[in-house]
Amino acid sequence: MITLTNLEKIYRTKEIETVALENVNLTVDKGEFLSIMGPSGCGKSTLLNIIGLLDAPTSGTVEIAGTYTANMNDKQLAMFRNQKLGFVFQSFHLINSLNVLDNVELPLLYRKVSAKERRVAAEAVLEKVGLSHRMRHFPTQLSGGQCQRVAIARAIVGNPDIILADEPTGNLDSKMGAEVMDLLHKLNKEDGRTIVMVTHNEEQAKQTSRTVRFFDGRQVM
Amino acid sequence: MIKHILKIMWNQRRSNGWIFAELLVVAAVLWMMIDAFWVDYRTYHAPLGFDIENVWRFKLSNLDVKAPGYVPDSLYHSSDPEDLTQLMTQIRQNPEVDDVCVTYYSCPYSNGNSWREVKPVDGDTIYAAHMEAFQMRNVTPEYFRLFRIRTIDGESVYDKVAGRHNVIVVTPEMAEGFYHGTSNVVGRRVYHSNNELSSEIAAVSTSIRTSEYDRPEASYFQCMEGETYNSTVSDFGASNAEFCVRMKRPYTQNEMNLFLDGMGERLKVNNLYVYGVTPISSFREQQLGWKARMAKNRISLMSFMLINVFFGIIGTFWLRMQNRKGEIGLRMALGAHRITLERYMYAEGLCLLALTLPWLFFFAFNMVYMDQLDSYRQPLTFVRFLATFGFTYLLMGAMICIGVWFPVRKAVRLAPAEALHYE
Repeated sequence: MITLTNLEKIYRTKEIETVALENVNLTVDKGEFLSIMGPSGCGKSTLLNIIGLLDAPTSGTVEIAGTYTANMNDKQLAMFRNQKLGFVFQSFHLINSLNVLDNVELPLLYRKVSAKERRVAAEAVLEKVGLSHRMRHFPTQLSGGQCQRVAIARAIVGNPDIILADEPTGNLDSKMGAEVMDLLHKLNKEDGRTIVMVTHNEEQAKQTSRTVRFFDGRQVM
Repeated sequence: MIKHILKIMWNQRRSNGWIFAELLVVAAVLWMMIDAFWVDYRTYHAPLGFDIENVWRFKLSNLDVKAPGYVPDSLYHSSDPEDLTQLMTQIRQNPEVDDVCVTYYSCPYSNGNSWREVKPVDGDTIYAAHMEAFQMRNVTPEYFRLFRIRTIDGESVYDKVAGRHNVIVVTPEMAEGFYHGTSNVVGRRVYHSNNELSSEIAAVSTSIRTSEYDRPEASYFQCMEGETYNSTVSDFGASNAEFCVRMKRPYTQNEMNLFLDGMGERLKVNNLYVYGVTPISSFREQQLGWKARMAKNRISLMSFMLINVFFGIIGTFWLRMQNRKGEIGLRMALGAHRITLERYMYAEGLCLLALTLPWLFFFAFNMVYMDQLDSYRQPLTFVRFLATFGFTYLLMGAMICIGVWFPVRKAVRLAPAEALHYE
């Protein structure tokens, strides 16, 4: 599903050069739930951003669902992100001025989907994440766990093959964290979605299909 | 997309409310400024009704008793009107001269302000019941030819009045007041003060304005021909006449002085003589100088205001966009293309501006109702509102687009991952 080959990411300024990722070779199979672990600053999020086409590698190739992404232009990248990838961020990244339903509809806004279809799809995924009773609420009126569930609903509303989650429970207490993890497992097992998750939590990592570890930009196991 | 924008705007109504209020106030002030500018500009550039190019005013005087060449009364056989006519003839004979005319307090930019009461002999208007005063210009028929004044139908006024005694030429504004229109006016008669003297209307001229800053007023020209000429010149004196000369080509002041030198004795008839010459454009400058300075001051003030508005609007939208870099990153992560995002941000700003439009209409309606707009010099027409509203919103829209353009362009050029860091 995802193949990274000789991936390298170097951040350069006038004075210094920081190697964020070095010679990363990684394959994620379809339907796999992969967790990525490592200390802060080891390049986990950078890796996730590159897989999510939010950032470009300095060298190496990224192949997702049989498509090499290196030669894609901006428009193709945006469309690919919209149709194939779903994002769940640590700090939810919800738009506070939109209610839950509108936040969830957002990815569909960038496809040519009618307002009615958007509404039906958003309601369906909110039902799935157990927030159908909060559709008219605004993010500021929800708990952290609920916000993250909204973010998950937004990630899956476009029916992407891959969900990329960057420390999805990082801002949640253990109970809410567990709820979110249950939801992700459900999406993986029942819907067969491929999930790549960055986490610091060993327990959560153990529950996934496979764990890869990073240290100083290198994959160590 | 517009629905989405409106939804966000409504949900952010607390912060948007301030921006909306700012846009509304600025749009109202800007519209007032543009409307004032419209009135000034349109008034200034409207046809004056006359042409002063290459026209000079000769200064006349009478020789003093002790002056060489003085003609004593015993040798004096002509009257003032005859002397003035003779002087006109002598000057007109010069091949460099295009035309000559005489007026009394009626030359353009002379500050002449003679009024006389008139009423239509067969008037069927409120004016028929009582005398109404109108500005009157005493002119010889050549005046119309010299200042290129045409009838309302584009014909030569001179041809209509030359050789006819006791006729007047009315402006369309006066014809409107007297006869509710300019048709069927020619040939009718009006009484002058005390009903003793009546004159025939020989023509309706085009609208005549006193200056570039004034609107055309109802007025009429009393043509000095025959007895009218003799009596007017006798009453006011030949040396007090405004003696206007149109030259065939542009002259400098020095060239004109040389021209006078070359004319020699032909500038003198008995004791009446020409002692100097001034271009009409000089009178124009003298008369309009303070108005031009006022206009310049107003334009400077408007420019200053505009610069403030410019930076205010741009700054507001700039900061607004800077604060939304994270949102831009998020939208890119969710699949928005950068061009779509740029358009979205422009549309949002412009939607906010568009929402001020009904309120500005309401404001404009009140300004009209309270008579706060200059409807004296320029009428309140649909075109005026369309142009001033259009220009106001174009200007404001451009400012918003500039304010949005730079930060948005910068944000959408970032990698989405980097833009997300601003969230």
